[in-house]
Amino acid sequence: MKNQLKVLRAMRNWSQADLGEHLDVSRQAVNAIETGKYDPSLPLAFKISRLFDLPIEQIFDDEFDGGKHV
Amino acid sequence: MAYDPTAPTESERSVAYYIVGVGAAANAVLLSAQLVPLPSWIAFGCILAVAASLLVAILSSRNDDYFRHISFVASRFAMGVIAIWFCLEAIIHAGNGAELFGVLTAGGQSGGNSTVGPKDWFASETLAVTVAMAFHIRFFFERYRR
Repeated sequence: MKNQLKVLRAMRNWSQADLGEHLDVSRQAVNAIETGKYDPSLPLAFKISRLFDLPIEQIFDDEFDGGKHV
Repeated sequence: MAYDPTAPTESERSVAYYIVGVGAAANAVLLSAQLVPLPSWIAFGCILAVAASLLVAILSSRNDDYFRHISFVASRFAMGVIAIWFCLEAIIHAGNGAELFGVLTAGGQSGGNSTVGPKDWFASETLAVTVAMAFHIRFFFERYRR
């Protein structure tokens, strides 16, 4: 699943470890989510959404429609 | 969410990945000890490291989502290895049963002692080392795959 996590993190000048500290996860978990290797659980997705004050669908793109927003 | 003063920090959560890495290296040494004998103090250290690695991976509730996910995938893979091991055991024992059946139908007496006692099932540490290695290999495959 594509996501905007890397961009949002860069806008705040945070390292992966910094973001991990905010989300209560490890640096490795942040890296796996950013590279699309791992889709976060619903509670973690909500935590990310609250941290960046954005709706989940603006951060994550499920690509069911070939990457285009319906 | 309420503040939890005992919650692990980011670096404490990251340590779990390194512990599993050390466990994987120790597991590889133990696997090689099936072919080349090891000094007992090295074997002791390696067994301890593998045990710690597996306990951290399976028991710790302080790990993050991603760690739990790859531990689950690796555990499933290790279960698959155990299933294959049992299938092979079953084939071997089916061979023994067939031999016994052949002897009985030919009117002869069974010469073999094809009973299976507890020692046959639990004496082998090879299974434990192999399954632990399967866990570690799958863990790192899942962690570093693209």
